[in-house]
Amino acid sequence: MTQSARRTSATPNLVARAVRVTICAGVLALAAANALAANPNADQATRIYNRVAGIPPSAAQLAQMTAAPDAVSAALIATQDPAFYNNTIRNLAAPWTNRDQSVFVPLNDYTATVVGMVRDDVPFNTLLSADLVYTADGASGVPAYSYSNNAMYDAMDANNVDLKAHLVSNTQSALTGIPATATAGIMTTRGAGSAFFINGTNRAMFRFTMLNHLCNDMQLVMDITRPPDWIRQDVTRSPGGQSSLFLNNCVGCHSGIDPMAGAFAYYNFNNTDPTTADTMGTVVYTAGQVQPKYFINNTNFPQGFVTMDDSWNNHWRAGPNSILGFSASLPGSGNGAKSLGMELESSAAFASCQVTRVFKDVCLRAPNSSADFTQVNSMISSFQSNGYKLRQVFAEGAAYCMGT
Amino acid sequence: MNVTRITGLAALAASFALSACGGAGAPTTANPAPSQTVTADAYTGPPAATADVTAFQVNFWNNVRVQNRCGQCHNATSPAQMPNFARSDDVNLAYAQANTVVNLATPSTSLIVTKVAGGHNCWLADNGACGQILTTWIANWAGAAGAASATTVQLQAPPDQTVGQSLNFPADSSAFAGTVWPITKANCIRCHSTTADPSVEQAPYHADPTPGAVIAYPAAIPKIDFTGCAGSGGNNGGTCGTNSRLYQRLLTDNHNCWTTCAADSATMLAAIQAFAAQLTPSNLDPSLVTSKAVSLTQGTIASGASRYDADTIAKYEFQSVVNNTTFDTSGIDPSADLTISGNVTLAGGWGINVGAGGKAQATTQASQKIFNFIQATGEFSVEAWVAPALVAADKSYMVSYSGGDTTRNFTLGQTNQDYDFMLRTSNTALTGLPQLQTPNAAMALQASLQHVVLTYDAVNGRQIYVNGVLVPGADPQKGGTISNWDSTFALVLGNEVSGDRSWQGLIKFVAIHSRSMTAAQVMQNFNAGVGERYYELFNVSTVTGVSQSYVMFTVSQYDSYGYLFYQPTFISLDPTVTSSNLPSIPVQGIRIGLNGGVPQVGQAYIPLKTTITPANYTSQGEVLSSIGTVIGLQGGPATDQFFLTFDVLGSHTNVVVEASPTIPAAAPGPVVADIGVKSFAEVNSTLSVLTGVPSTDPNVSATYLAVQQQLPATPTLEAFSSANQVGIAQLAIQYCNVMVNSPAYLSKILPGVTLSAGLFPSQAGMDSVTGPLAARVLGSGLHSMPAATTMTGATGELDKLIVNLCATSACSTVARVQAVTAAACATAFGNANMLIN
Repeated sequence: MTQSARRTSATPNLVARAVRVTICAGVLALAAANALAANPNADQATRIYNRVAGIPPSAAQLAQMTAAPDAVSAALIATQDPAFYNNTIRNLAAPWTNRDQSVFVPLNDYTATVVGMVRDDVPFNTLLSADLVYTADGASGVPAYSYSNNAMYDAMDANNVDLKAHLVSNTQSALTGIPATATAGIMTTRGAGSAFFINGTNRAMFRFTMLNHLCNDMQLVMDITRPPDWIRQDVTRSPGGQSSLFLNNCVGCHSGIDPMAGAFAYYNFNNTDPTTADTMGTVVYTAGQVQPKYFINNTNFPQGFVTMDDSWNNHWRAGPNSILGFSASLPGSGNGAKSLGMELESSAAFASCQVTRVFKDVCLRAPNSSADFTQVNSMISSFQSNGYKLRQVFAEGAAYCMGT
Repeated sequence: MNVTRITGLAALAASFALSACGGAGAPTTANPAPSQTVTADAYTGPPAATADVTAFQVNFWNNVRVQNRCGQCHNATSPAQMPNFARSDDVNLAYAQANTVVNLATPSTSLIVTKVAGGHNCWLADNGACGQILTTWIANWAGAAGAASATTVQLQAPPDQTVGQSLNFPADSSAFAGTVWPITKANCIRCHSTTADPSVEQAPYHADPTPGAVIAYPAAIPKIDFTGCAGSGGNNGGTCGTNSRLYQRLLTDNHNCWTTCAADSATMLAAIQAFAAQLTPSNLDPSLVTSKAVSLTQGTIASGASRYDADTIAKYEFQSVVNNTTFDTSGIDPSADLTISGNVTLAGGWGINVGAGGKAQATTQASQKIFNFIQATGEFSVEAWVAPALVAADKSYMVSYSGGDTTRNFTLGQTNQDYDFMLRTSNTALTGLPQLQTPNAAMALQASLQHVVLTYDAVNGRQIYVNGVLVPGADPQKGGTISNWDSTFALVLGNEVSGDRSWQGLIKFVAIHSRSMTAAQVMQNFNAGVGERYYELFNVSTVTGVSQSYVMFTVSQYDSYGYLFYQPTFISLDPTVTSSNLPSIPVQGIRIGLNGGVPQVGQAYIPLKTTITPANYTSQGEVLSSIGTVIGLQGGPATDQFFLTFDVLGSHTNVVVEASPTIPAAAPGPVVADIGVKSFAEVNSTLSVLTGVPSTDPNVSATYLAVQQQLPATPTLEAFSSANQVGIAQLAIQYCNVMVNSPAYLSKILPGVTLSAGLFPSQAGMDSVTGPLAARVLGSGLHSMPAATTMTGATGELDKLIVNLCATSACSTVARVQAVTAAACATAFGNANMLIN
């Protein structure tokens, strides 16, 4: 995979709420920086390995790590362990793939694609727009990929297939029939579609993408001062006869969500067997034809927005949510899920979210000191300026939290 | 006064098409309503000369000429008060007089309506109700006569008013910081702050502690309303600030009050009033590009005679409540007025808010007209505009004609998100059951203003229409008759007459018709909407340079809390302004102003960017947007004054640029443990590494799947529980059991050791097992791990365990030694040395 970080990074100092910038580095940060420059001792290397791969290192791996030139290099050794992919990355991504945010869910093409991108150092800022999906190779002995079921990944689960060894990169457009221009990274995988395009009004795809990849659920970004011009007809402006509820609550989220969720107007998940929940069916893409779900309950407020195509607009580029740091090199509007994905993955909040989450994964805590915030900011800068390699973020985080 | 006629507005277009019935084929004429219970003397004069006179006679004259109404004075005998439109001697002469006091185009503006509504000899307790009834009669006259003029609205220029002064939020936050902010900081900071715990953090951040209130102040502005406040030197008590959400949230929502909600809301209100007292009323920023100002009732009434009401026998528009009574304005006698009781209040923009336990009920005597009319036709319809407050409500009744919860003629009810239609027929029980219900999956009932119509006739049985559309599903009980109805029941809204089926929400309109409405009639009434709408004309002549030019909105009071604005249209009332001489006029960024300020919420036209072009301009104007929006009500329709501001209008520009938000500072949290625990998959993989048993082994795989969700899901010490440890022990025992019983695995973990009878409890034998186990889990030379002697050797925990186990049951067989070895293994690998991360 040779995709590169293709867009101008959002201004690094406009970091999202997930990590609030602190200017003061403090003594601890300097001490940590000095420690990172040295090779880790055995205790440090053991912690790094356990935190990264979830298992203890072998004697040989330990020796290799303690001989590494610095802690980050040592941590990168740990990322070579298959357990890093089968445990750490898989379980990092698993909650993103379902509405309950459960980690106890089967492997699917969403999770596998995240694992593959990390393994291959695919720029993670293409997560929401790439024409990309990872499938099992021929040696895995599992059923072929299907956009209509999860059989391939269920079999990989059952056989405990080594994801590091047996995932291969493909294009979604080649396997799914969705045009390349309509692919949008993990958002158009079957895994995501079965969870967030199923039923409803497709707002779930936006909400969960914000939650999972910009680390902001709606209660954090609700802003009642944005124009409500794109709010669809199904949103009542007077719930129970009280427009004050709409003006103080509903509008705060819908004024931002609805203009963005227009990007998904041509997508649906066709659940062919409702009795088996999400396990059957496929993502449907109807170019040029808005899905009927965009018009349900359209008499609730007839003067509301009528979706005519898959155009979208980011109302949150202005107002309080502008601190999410959307890229100045992008227009903030467009058509379709791919351009919306670019809008989101190019934001400072996206980078901040990914880095902060990795920090918590390897440090087992949220950043909570000046030194931590400085470290996270450093990792964000490194992430943005070095090709958005999430594996590298794991290494840097684990090295920082390797202890003494 | 300048006027123009407008007929092309979309809001009216649908109703015009339906009411005009201009299509092919003979028009359908509805049967006249059955005779009324209050009648005048029989008419013996000359017959009506024309069809219009007949329409006048049937729909208007018969109603007004009775002695207890207009006929008492405006008659032909004594006192023969002119205009004597209620004279009973000659309908044609009465018709001539009536034409001098009615306006068939807009019945509500008729002189006779405004005169009576203004207090002139109303025969009811409420002058407004008399006005509505007269309006209905005139509208029926106009509708029966096919009055094409009813589709024309005359736009009237409003008075020339400039925008008044108001209290505006200062750019400097110090007044806020000294009044409201201390209260929010002290009491709301745990959630409404960027420093809040992420699990409860919640916008808006009006309690954010960032110095200077740079985050809190902008977040609080939309939640503070200075309506009723005079500002510095004036009265800032009374209703000042009571519209503020910060106050209402505590007072009415009981939202996380810190002492008592009454006291806390009072504290908040006092702070808002103190804030207002520091401000000075100011004129609108002169740099703004603005229109002239106008109030709601200065607009031209847009609602008209577009409903189908030919068979209406009871109608409630809820325009007023007088002496706990709201009026039946159908004009059909006797008037089945409703007495409200319990938690029922008049809603803004017409309607009643029904709270828990409230109801509005007619007397059984007045309700009997429903029985009489419907029994005469054998069919009926119930029409309502309702906004349910709850979507989880079981057996809640909106409209019922019944004697109690177990005996009824008909009922419109709610079960969660379904509408229920219960009806007594020869095919159903006296309770009206089984009911016809909208399908669960359809979720037809929404917590939104909805038009719902129940229809019944013998052929189709029961039918339910929601927002003009027939809900699919045939009536299984159709084919019966309603001859078994009971005439002693009462009509009740918002509950059952027995008071045990309380419904909560807003009822804006109810009508009962003595015919089963057709789908077209239902759609006609749905399109007609509910409530009174106005065309508000915002004068922009001085800005555009176009004579008598206006930006016109259709506006109505949407509910008690807001106004609905939609379909902004540029129009000139000067007939000489046409597409041939209109210049191109750019328009961008319209904001709706209210009482001298510009609300921050609901401004749907900020993104608007268009150009008024001669090519698109007609005598009906040029529509700028089809979008509608709701703007929060402040003082109410009697006092609120609207205006518009523009980023760009014609050659005038004042683009509003929002200030950049302040990025919140990082918020260090409490110190937490530097270590944690391995999560479920890591535990599984680690045990696999330690025992050498692959995780795909069928036995361990089965155990793992069984205990997977019992293992730690969160890698923090704080989240670890005893149940997690039990799961870990189960999995470790399984791994060790497989390892001990598999020579291939055993030889790798315990090389050179044979698990023979008598191996234990000799020290050497124990050391041969516990030593390698300790080494695997503790590693080598790690200072973070305990010394090996804590596990192995004479004083080690594993050795002690083996001694105890062998003492309990002698280790004299291979099986026993294997079992004890497995136990030692599980103890070594299932403990904190493995788990702590």
